[in-house]
Amino acid sequence: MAGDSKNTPAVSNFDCQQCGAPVAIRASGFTVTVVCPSCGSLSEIDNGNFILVQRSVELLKIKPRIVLGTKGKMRGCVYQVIGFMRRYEREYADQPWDEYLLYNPYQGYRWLMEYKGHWTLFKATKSVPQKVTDRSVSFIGSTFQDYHQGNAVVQFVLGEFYWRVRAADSVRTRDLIKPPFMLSQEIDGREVNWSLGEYVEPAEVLDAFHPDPMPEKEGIAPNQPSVVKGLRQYCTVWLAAIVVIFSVQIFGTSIKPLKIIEGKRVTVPETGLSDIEVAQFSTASSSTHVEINVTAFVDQSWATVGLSILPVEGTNQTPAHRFEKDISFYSGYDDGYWSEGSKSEDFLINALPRGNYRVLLTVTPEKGHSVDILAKVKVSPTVWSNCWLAIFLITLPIVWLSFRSRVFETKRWSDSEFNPFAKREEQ
Amino acid sequence: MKKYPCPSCGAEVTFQSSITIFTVCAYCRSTLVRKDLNLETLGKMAEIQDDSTPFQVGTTGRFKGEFVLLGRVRVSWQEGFWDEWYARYGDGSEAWLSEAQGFYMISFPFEKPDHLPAANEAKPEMTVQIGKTAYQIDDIKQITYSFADGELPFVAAQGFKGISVDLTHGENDFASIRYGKDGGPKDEVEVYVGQYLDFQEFHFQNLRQMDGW
Repeated sequence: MAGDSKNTPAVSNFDCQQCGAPVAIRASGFTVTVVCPSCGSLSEIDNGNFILVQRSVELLKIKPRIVLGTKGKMRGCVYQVIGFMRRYEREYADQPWDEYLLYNPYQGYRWLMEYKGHWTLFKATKSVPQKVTDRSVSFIGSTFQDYHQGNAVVQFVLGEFYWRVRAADSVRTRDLIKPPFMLSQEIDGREVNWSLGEYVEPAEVLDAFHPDPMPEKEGIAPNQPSVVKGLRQYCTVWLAAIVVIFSVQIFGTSIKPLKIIEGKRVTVPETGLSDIEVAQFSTASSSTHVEINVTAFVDQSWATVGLSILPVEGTNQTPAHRFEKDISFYSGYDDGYWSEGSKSEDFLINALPRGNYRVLLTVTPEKGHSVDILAKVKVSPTVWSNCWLAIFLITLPIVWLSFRSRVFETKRWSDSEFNPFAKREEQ
Repeated sequence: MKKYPCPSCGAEVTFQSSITIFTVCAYCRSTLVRKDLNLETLGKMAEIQDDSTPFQVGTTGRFKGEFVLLGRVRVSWQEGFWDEWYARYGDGSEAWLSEAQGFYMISFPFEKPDHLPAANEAKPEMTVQIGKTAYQIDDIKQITYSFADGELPFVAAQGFKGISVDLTHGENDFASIRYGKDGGPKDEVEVYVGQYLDFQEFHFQNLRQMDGW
C-alpha cells in the first residue's frame, strides 16, 4: 500500500481543556467527538477547533476491557480500538452492553459489541434490507428474523467517534438475526442506519485485542451459531446412505438364487385329504418373501386346493396364512390341440416372520377323480432385518441432533419478544 | 498531458486530462484556472491539517476498467464532510469516487432526466426515476466546497454553495443529484449514478501511506 508521497502522521494530539492531559486523535479528520480518557470530559471538533461540551464531574469509574489504542487483527484486517461506548436498553440500565469502535484508515470503521461474554463484529452498510414480512427482511440473499426492538441509551463514552455523541443519547433499535449474523437498525429521528454483524468467538477477540478481564460466556447470544453443527450436512449424508442401502439390498436380492424346497408328491384319493404336510421350510429374516408353487396333476378335471402355513414350534397351531384356489385342466383335439386352465398355481406370501414353517394342503378332488399333488417352496434369501437395523442406526443421530438443536433454539429465542416457540405454545 | 509554469511560483503544473480546467499547484497551493493557453491564479488553497484519506493524486483503482485519481474536492455540510475524488479512465471517460467514513462509492455522470424535483421539493423517501431505475431519496444536504486538491473539471473555488441529494436503489445502487447555487429549477443540475463497493473490491494501488499502518 506504499505510496510515493510523504508519510502522513495518522495521529494528532490535543490537550484536554479540563485536565490538561494529552489526548490522541487516531482518526484525525474523521473524528467529531472525543472523550478524554483521563477525566472523561467530552469535546467536539469543529474545523480543527476543540470545543469542550460536557465537563465530567466524577472520576472515571468505568474502565473498558480493551485499552483504547490497542491494535489487533480481526477477520484478516488490522484495526485500532479508538472509541468505547456503553449502552443499555431503556428500563434495563443494570444490563448494559459494551461497544468498541475499531478503525482502519483504509477499511473504515467497525464495531465490536460485547454482551455477557458474547462478541459480534459489526460493519455499517448502505445497502437497504428489503422487507419480506412484518417480522423479517431479506439482505445479501438471506432472510433475517426479528429478534428485538427497543431503545438503546448511551450510558458512558470514551475515546473518539465520527459522529456527535453524548451520554443519555437514545436511538430506536431493531435487531434481526440469521445466526451467526445479526442485522441492526438504528433510527435517531433524522437518520436510519443499518449494520451487519457476525458472531466472533471469544478466542479470536482475545488474540486480537487482549481484553482484560476476559468476560465469561453467559447464556446464549441471539446470533450465536448453534452448538448443534452439521445437522443439515448429516441429513444429506443420511439420504445418500438410505439410497445406497436400498440399492445394495435390491441388487443383492436380484442376484442371489432363491432357496428352493421340493415337497413330497402325495396321491390324494377321490374322497380328498385334510391338512397333509407336504413340505417344511425356514426363514432367516423377519420379513421374508415366500412363493409356494402347487401342482395338481389333474387331467380333464378339477381340484380345490387349500394351503396353510403353520409354524413348526410352539403350541399355537393357528395357521399363519391360509389360501384356497381351484386348479383345473382340460384339453382335447378339435381342429387341433386345445387346453384350458393350468395344473400349477402360485401362492405368494410377503413379510413372513422369521421361523420354521410347515406347508399343509387340504385337497378336494372332483368327484370320482384321485389326484397327485406336489408343492415346491421358494424362499427369498434376502435378509431385510439388517437393512432396517442399519436405517434405524443411521437415523438415531438425526433424532438426537434435532432434539439438541430444538433445545438450543428454544433457549436462543427465550429472551426475544418475537419468540416463535412461545407463539406455538399459545396456539 | 499538458504542462504549464505556475504563474505564482514558477513550478511545473501538469494537466493529465484535457477536460479539467482547475488545479492546485502542489508547491505553492495556488488555485489555478486554465484559460485558452494560459493559467490564471484565483487565490490560495490552505492545506488540510487532519487528513485521514487513504487516497492521493495518482492512486489507481479498478471498476469496469482501471482509473486514476486526479484531484479531489472536500464537500462539507453541517455535521461533517466527505471527499469526492475526480477519476479518469484510460479512454478519457470520467468518474467520481466518494469517500465518507469508510464508505466508498463510485459514480458516473448521467443524462439529466426530464422530470427531476427542484431542490426545495426533494424530500426523503421520495421516488425519482433516473434512466430505467426508480431511486429513493436518502437525504438532502446543504453543502459547500471547503477544500480542493489536484486537477478538477470545474472551478472548485472554496465557498461554492449547493444542495446534494443522495439516492439509493436495491442493495448497492447509488445516485446523486447536485444542485448549484440556490437549487432552483433553472440552476445547473448534475446527475450521477453508481454503486457502493467495499474498499477491497477496487484493488487500489499507490495508496497514501500512513504512519503506523
